[in-house]
Amino acid sequence: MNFLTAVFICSIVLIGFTTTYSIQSRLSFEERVMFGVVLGVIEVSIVGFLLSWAFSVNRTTIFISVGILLSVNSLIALRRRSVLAADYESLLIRCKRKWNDPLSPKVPIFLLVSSTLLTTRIMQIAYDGTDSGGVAVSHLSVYGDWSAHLAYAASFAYSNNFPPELPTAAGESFSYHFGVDWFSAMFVPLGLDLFSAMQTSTVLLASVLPPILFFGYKRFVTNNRAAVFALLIFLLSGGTAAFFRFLFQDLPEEGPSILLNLPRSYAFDGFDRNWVDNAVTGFLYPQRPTLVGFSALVIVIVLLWENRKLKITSTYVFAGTLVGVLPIFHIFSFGALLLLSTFWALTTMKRYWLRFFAPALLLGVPVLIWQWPDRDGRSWHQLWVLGKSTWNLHVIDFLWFWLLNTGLVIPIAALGIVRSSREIKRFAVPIFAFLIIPNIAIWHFWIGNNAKYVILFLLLSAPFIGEQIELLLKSGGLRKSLSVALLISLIFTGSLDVWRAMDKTTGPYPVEYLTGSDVLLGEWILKSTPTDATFASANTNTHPVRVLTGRSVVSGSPGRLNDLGVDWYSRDQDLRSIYQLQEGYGDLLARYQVTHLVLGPLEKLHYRLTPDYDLRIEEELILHGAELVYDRANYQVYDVQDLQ
Amino acid sequence: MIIQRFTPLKAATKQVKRLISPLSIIVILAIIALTLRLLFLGERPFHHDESLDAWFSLRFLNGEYNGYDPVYHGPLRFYLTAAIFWLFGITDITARLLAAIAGFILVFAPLLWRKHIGIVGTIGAMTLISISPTMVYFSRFGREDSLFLLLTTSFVILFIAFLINPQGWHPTALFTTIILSMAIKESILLVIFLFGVLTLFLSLQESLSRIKKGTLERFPLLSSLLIPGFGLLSLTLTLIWVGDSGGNETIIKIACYCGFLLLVIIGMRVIPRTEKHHRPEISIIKSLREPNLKQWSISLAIAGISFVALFSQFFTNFSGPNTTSAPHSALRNGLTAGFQYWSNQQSTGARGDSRWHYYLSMLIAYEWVILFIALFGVWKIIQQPTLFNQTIMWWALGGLIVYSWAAERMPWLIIHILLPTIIIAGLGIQHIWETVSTQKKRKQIACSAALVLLIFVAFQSIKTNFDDPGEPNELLVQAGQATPEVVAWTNQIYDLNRVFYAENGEHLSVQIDSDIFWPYGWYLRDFPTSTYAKITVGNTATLSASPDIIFLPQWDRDLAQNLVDEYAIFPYNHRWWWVPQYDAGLSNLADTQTLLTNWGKWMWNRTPWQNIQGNPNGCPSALAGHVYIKESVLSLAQKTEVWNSPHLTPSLIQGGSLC
Repeated sequence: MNFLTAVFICSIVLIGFTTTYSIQSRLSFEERVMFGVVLGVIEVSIVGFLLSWAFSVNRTTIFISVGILLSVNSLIALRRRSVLAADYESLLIRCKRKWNDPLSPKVPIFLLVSSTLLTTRIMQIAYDGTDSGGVAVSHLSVYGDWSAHLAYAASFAYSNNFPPELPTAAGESFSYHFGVDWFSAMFVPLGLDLFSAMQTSTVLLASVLPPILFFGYKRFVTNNRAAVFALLIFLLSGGTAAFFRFLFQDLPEEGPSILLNLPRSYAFDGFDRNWVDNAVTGFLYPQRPTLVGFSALVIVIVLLWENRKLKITSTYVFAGTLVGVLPIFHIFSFGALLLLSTFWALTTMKRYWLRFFAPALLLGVPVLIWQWPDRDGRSWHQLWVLGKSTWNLHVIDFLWFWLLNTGLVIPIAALGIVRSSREIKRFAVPIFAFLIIPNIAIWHFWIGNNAKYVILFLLLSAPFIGEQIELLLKSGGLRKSLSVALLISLIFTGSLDVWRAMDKTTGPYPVEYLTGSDVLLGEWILKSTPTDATFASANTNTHPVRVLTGRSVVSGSPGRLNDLGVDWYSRDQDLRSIYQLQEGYGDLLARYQVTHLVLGPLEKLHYRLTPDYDLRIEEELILHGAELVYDRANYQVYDVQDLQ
Repeated sequence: MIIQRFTPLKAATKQVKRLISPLSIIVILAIIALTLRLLFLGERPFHHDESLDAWFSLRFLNGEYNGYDPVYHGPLRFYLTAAIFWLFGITDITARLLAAIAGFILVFAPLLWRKHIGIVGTIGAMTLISISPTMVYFSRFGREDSLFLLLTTSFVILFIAFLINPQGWHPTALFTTIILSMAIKESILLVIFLFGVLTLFLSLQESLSRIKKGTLERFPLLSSLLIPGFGLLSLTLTLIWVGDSGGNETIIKIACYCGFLLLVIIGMRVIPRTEKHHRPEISIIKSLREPNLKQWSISLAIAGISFVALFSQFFTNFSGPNTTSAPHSALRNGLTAGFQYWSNQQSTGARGDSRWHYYLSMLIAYEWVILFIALFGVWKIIQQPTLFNQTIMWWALGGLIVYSWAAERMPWLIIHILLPTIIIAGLGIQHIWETVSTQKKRKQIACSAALVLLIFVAFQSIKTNFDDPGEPNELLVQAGQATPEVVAWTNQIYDLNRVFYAENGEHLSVQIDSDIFWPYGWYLRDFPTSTYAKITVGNTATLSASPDIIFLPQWDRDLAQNLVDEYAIFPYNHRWWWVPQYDAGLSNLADTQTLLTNWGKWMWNRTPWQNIQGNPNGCPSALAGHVYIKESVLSLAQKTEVWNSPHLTPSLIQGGSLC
């Protein structure tokens, strides 16, 4: 991390922190700081995005964005300086309180430090260099999902992707909540390379998530310990698979040393029996939008909860605005908040909810329409994967599926909600919708995406589970042991997976992600091709054109395009036709406005190009006006703009 | 009406006053200290020793560390840096992070003594630790000194606490601190000697005071001042007597000195009995009796287990590295090798600067403001020679004497003298504050003066630490400091290797002469074929293998004559330093103005000086050599646009000297 990055991060925190003074709310100093990180990220991202769209992505626009926000927010802070001073004084006084005091800031500070250390470890091993000058990765999340995120971030950082188009499918609208990737891209003009930008932005957002969750959970439980339990239950979730796979299979086979080299994920088995992955390794780590989304969701709930009696207009407008911009950052949180708030509004039928819904819908719906995929991916079904995978459609498998994937989360959560106060109950009942939806619908092209609803249920129900465990623990005797056993059952699998994510040598990782030749090609493209160039390249999971340069390509990885509702099959076939120089390949190049064609090891392997292919290329492309512009280390790049 | 108008103003002033509480100031100081320690932490090229420390830490992380060898000092910092590597990654910044963290924690040491120093003095001392040029420099220097100072300070904190208000857990903490310090650096011997002698003198002082007054309450002023004064004098004379004898002779002479002191104390204990007085309980003995037998046993057990754990790499390796300086098993090495090595060092001659006044000169150059303020502290100590005040005074002056006597005089050892001096300065600040706070005008003058001095120290600190801190016109830069060319060549080698590998499917072959291998050993840690090459007259075999890049020092240039045709040759500066003549060869009073001008220019813009006779030998100089690159490799680099011209880094040394 360099000096400018440090200044940028400090500015973000300051911007977000002062933003919290724009509304009247009973937030503590430390809550304002932690919430401020996420709010600051959202604000800087939006203003920076608009300015970069108007001008370009560079250091000046980023610091102008920061400057504008700092100026406006310092006025807000100045106006509310007495509240700020009172908050600060209160913090100094509360610092002396004991750990178990609900007002003590010690627990959230401890959580912040712990999560920063843990996240830093996970992130610092995410990428590594190889002997050949290439890049190695150490976790499935980075190898898989982050390939797409790198392409998205690189498209903004290096390829001036304005107005935003999907860089992995030339000509398609950006039907993805790319906010967090744009935020990462903002670090590049400040001097970080793309990999460090991804890592730094993740550490920043992931570090504040546990304290933010703690602040949220604290409102629905009786003490700090219950809130910490809730936090652990969510972050270390993962079902019960490890009780068999680890305790009865791997541990007896390998002995205790296996803990230093865990051979597999226990919460996730590649969509066979386990469909609901651990919150950290299956959602927060690979699916970067959740880093903003989950935090924002909790912040909005806290604001609405605190405002339930005060009913201050500005708070409703603020919360509604925050929800309204969420489709840019995490569409699921947007949907979840709309669903929850609609239920709360319907049960109260009060006019003040309009102040919330007006900005939320006014801002959110246009973005939603813009992001709406062309292809319809909706379908209806019953009981999610039961009867469709190795799970059968009968009662035993129904119970077993949920026990394996979520442990005793659902019954304890239900019990917790039933036993909670009437006010909390009304607030909590709609979260069961997140269990119902995945069992009746597929809204996101692929059945595996339904786990995203279950994780929302887990996120929102965790405090009720934590509270029940705390009540058992307090009652002493046998119940105390039961509470400990319950807690272990809920966090054991996830703990192993999170621990595994901290180990960079757990097989098969680290794996070579990019070779030295790939990196050289990426550097050449950045230096020698225009930012609006479009490339034909292999649509493998990883390709230097996509992940290193963000230049537009005909097709990215088909699986990821399918997730976004893009017609991946046609693009795949078209690429095949282009590389096999089939009749009409020139038309295809023209249709996708391809300017450069890459011919490297991935293309040769993926499209099974014969050894005499170089000659054919010579005949076909060069003779028809293409130009060989790069020929180094197993890669050739042809400029095909003048192809006749 | 008027009252109403002024009420909000009063309230606001009250609020501002409330906000500028000591805690707020401490928070601000912490932010400043942290910023000064972390900002651009990886920028300065690595010093030889820093690279070795980082490399050993990496070896420990990879399970390749062979165990404690006193040449490279204790293993604890390798363990801690390895933990930092594991957590934050292996970078130049993380290699220095332990020093920075230790340096940051040190800022808070005066807080624990706030009752003795006073709140204003405490904040003053914290401020000076936060921004002192030397403290900041060596908090950003990846050697063990910052961490060792932290442990020494912890030891002194516990030592004073044990004497003033003994608790059962104090021995455990004291012993553990000593063991941890042992596992960092052999200098713990000096600390033990220094505070051992102090304990004897404190006992002597108490014995005398009881003989005279029969009371435990207060030391008589005279004996409070005379005894430590006598102690410091005897310490100086003893160390002159010990000289650079080295080995067992040093040990015997020092033991004789301590034995003599012990005899005197026993004598003092006997006198009251022979005169049939009631024998009073000496407070040191009282302190020793405070923890019960169980607590003493636990202390020793914990210390023993800590020792075994630290020197056996956490019970995994009980055999030593089997080197000349550490020939025994791991535990025996831990117990004796360090001591042996240190005492032998005394006889093998001085390392670093050989002048006895080295530390004094350096302190005047960088920390004259602190020395000036400390004078007020010394005055306060003379007025109020409490146990705390005496101990700190002893630590500062005794440290100066002992470190000035010891064979090795290096810039990083200054901090061990500077920190107690800053605490004395803190006492001075408190004293000044108490004197001036009663009068508004005096207070204003003192505050203005403090502000000016503070700005000056901050300016000096920023200049020293952020304006080319690795360049030899800084006196804190020692002979092992690498030039920026080393970093430029490192980056060049990595870039070039990437292209070379992509084109040829094999890595560049790089050979570095053993005399200039460090800090490349650290920088090229991820490079697959860098070689530690012993290129001497009798051994040029490595050159015959025709490596792609060769680094040779000036004195080995002749060995590479056969390579000339095939290779492009670039001049190269490896390390640089400056050993100035502090008095610039002053021989008569008329030269004083030149001397002062020299120092003034240096303080203002770090301009190095020649001595008055114009002899350039006193100017910064470099260990130079040449880099040989195969023509084919060079042309590939230029063709692929990865040639960064590392040899063209502007060099201060090239074309003459800085003076």
